[in-house]
Amino acid sequence: MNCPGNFEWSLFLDNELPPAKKEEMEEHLDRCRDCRLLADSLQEENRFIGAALAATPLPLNLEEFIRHRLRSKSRAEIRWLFILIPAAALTGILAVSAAGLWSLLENVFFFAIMLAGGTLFTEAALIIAGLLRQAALASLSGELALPALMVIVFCLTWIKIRLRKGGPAHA
Amino acid sequence: MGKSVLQTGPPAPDRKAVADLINSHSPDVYRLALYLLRSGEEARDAAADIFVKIYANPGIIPEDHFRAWLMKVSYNHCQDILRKKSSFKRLLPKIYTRITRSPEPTPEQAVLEADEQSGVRQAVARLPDQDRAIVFLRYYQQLSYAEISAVLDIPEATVGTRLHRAREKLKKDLTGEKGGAL
Ligand SMILES: [Zn+2]
Repeated sequence: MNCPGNFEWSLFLDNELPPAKKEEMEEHLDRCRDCRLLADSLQEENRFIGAALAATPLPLNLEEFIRHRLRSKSRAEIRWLFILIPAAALTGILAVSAAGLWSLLENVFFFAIMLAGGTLFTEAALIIAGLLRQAALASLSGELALPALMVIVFCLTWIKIRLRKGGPAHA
Repeated sequence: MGKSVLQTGPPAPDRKAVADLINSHSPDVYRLALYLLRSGEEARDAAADIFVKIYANPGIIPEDHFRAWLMKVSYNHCQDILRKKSSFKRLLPKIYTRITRSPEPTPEQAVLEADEQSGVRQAVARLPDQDRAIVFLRYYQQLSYAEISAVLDIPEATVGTRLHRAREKLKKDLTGEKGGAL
């Protein structure tokens, strides 16, 4: 048997040869010092490549990073709640308006704002309340486009905010 | 696992098992992603998303050849990322180079990279896409040629020749640059 080349010794070391061929090469290895040296050095290279790759530095807190991603993904599973709740609230407001209780609700709301004092938050709340009221009035007059549009805009905004807050990047 | 996790999907034990997998296998997944994507940030992101995928559907975890399976899931995920990136690169080359410019390594990283093995790692990182994966899966993950062929979706005979070719390239790269043996 002629001396096998690098490629064959690689296959031999990777244990990828048919049994008969493998046996033949093992016998050759016993007889040929050159091939013993070659096979040894190839094996040492394999080991060294493996060790170098296994020592590839990891980022700090890799596990914690992954766990965090899993948790935010779990929260994303209940995202629909955040769509359902505002939708239910809107329906409630529409129902209240239909029963003619809107002005009562409005007075309670403004009284609360007076107590709390004017801030950016209450300003924003006022604007939202005004929009809701318009939506309610529109739906009372049989015009459903505005309320529907508001719900859609709300849902889209919500999802956009969720994604920006580090939701799954490649989901 | 936090108590806030809503139990929709599969029963709790499966998900607990996935949480344990993170402990034992996140380094493997991260490192494969690192060699495929060649960016630490992206590799970390990819590793997290791979576990999210498995977590969402623990039923897909096989009983046999687990390591090969995990590598296949990870490999496919990274290939998807690379595909998306290459179409992005084609469409908007200038923006692509600007946002994918890799940041300077931190001092700690630099120290870690200064050891003698770092030369091998850098040489592996310079190999063509599929060769990097083959070298990684064979010498680090110790997968058989049959398993590697399943991960990369290439014929088993091709694995041996590619691996050999990659080895030759590595050797040439390392001896050419440092004038020493591997
Ligand atoms: Zn010989």
